[in-house]
Amino acid sequence: MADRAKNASKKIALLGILGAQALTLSFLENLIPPLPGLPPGVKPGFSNIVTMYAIQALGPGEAFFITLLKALFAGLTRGPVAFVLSFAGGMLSTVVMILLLRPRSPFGLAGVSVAGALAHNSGQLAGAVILTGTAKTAFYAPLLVLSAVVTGIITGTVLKVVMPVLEKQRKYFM
Amino acid sequence: MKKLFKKADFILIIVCFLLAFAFFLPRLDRGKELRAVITCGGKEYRTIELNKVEAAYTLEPECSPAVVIRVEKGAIGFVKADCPNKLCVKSGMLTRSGQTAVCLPAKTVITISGGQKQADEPAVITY
Repeated sequence: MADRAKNASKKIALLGILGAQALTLSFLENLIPPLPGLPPGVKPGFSNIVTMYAIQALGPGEAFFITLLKALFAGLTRGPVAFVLSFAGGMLSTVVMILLLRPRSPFGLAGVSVAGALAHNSGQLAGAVILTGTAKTAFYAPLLVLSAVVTGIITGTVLKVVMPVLEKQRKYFM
Repeated sequence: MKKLFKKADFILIIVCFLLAFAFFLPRLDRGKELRAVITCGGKEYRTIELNKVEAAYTLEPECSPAVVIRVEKGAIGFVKADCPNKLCVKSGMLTRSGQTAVCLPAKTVITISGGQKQADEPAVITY
């Protein structure tokens, strides 16, 4: 019984570290000024690396927690609009990634990452359309699809490269 | 753990490209109605359907100081002006809905209306 408590607290500790890493990545990303030609919200999405890892190393519930944490952080630093967009995009993205990371899934890390980015952008776009009240906001759609592909491939690759380090971090706790 | 690229990943990426271009193409010829309105001293001088212009020409409306406006297919702008600042000329050619060029001393204004707003206009919301 003491073992179970010990296990739980190990998981929680790792979750805390991963959550902090996700927030840090998110924060650092937002320091990059918006690139001309791209909609201002397009970001590399490096914090998804943590989410994808958390799904595999911990579980869906923990991944949702990290997503919620990111949304709350966005809300605290950039306002309620940012919370809604981050929550909408993040939740949809996490659901998709959980489904695509199951053992029998035909997708590799890059595909899961792209799908997650697509879901994230779609969720945010839907949120943006609702907030602005105009369907013209959806004009961003093609650009968002392309950027999801590019950022998805990049984050998927980074995850693959960084995996040994993440595993080392996990073994430190569990 | 998992591999980076599997077959399904490539299919997904290709589908994404196709989707994106499928949405891009219908938008390219949406600028069908590009209407330029030239006003002189508050009164409408002329309205021109920019997309229907075949050969380029110049206009010299009777506003003073004198200005010369060049009209081409899909674009319009001041090319010469007798005003001291020449800000109007520096505005260049107007090509998109919502753009304006003004010569204040001549009280001449060119505005463009119609057409669709382009996708890279500034967003209303912040992220």
